[in-house]
Amino acid sequence: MANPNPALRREVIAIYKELLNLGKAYPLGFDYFRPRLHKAFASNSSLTNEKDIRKGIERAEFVKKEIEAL
Amino acid sequence: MFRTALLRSARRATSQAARSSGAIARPVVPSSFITKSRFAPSAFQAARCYSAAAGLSKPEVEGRIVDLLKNFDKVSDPSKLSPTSHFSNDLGLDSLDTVEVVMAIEEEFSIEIPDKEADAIHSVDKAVEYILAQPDAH
Repeated sequence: MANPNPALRREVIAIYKELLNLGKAYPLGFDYFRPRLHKAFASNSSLTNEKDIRKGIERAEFVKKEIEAL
Repeated sequence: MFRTALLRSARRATSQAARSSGAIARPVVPSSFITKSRFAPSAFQAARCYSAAAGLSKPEVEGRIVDLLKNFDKVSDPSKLSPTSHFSNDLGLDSLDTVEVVMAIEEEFSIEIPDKEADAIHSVDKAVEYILAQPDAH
């Protein structure tokens, strides 16, 4: 796997983990949450531009705050 | 073997106690301490110091990781599960699934795996190797 920016990759994995942990208490159940989270991240797996990835991470942060607010 | 069985039953009792006391919002840590000391016989405490390693054997770790993967619904072909299978090549997991597997392993052995090491775990035998190298894995 081409991995030009390990620091950025680690950041994405970190936010993925945080969201997974938050999703354990999701109202519709973790089994509902997990495939959707996975799909959302997988659909952005083609991003290579650092700016785009940053935008994705920002969106993940936003979603995190939304889940925390539930 | 007897020791792990004891540990497991103690842990189960602890989690049940924690669950039942959740409604009263009592702090979990002290209650788990109390139940643990009540359920573990004194001979067991004399035999093992708190700082001693849990002493996991390789087959046991392998079995627990394979069981964990068996219950992971994204594994494409459970017949390919073996102590040497590679997460993405043999089991059809992508990198996000690998992250989830590593998290499940963290929970199973009650340890925390730093991101750097977690990145290097791509197969069952790598995970087993890592767990065996951790003195505080349960």
